[in-house]
Amino acid sequence: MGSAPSDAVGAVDDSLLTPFKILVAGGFGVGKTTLVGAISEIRPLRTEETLTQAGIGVDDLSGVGDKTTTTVAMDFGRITMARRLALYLFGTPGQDRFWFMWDDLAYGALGAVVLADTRRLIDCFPAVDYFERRGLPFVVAVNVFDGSPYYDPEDVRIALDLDPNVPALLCDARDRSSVKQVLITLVEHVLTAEVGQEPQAHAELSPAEAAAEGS
Amino acid sequence: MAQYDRWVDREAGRVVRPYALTGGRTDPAGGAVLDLISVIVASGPPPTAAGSRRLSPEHRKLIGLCQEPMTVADAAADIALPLGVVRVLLADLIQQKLITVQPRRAVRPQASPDLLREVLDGLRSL
Repeated sequence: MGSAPSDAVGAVDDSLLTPFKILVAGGFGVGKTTLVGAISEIRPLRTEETLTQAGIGVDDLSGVGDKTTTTVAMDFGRITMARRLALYLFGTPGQDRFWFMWDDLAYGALGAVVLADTRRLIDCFPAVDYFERRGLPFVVAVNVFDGSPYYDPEDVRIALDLDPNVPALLCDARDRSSVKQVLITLVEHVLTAEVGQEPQAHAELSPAEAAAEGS
Repeated sequence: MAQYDRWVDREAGRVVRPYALTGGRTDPAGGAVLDLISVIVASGPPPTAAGSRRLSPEHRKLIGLCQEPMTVADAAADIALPLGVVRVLLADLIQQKLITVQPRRAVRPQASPDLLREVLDGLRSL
């Protein structure tokens, strides 16, 4: 990770495959894998460890029920669209031990979805902080779990102290059309946020630069 | 923060052993780090028999995968090796001009409203 990705040259050519990167972040056990799997045309790359092997004594399991595996690398799914456009969803590692991967994931990303669980709202603070600091547009999607208390998305916005422009919405990470709406909201937000607004300099940091800034 | 954490976990074994495929190298040749969605494609004449013998089976498999343009993430998933290993192997192939990296249309997608509208249309029609 010593330098910026090497293909950062501008070119416009409709014949090229044009991939976009969207990060799916949030606390451990919040449903990131479920969300990616609900809409992607390929199965997520599962690199999960069972908690009995990897997480006991490391991961805080209170409130996540009977989840027995966690994502230790990343999930990804691809949504292929017309004209060789493709959306790549990357589930960011849910544990503090894997923060070193985030700059790599965020480089050149279109935006991010922060998935929140109202039972453990505090778990998504680090992701919100990260994307705010980096200037990467994001939306907050509150995953509605069976048995979790209902919250108005506006209450979540207040609890997270979100910028008024940042969309917050409810979703069901298992439901394709719900996830689709989350992604539409994100892309609309990116479009709106960019109108008449100068790009923020720190949004273009290479992974190496971002790492230096963060140290 | 214990910097040794990554070496004591169970998954450390899985991360380390595959680097045997790279001769123990963990940094890509030339220092270029490919992004996850960098688009790579096989290029140039196919390697000669002699040249092909110098390539590992994993190198050859990657060349086979990249006959059509694909992203680094797709290649890593298809070949079922850790991303770091795949980056090293791909850098070898790029240095040997057996694979090239395609220029990207949207280095900073936020600044490409036309492309974003296309993405939006694509999502809506899913």
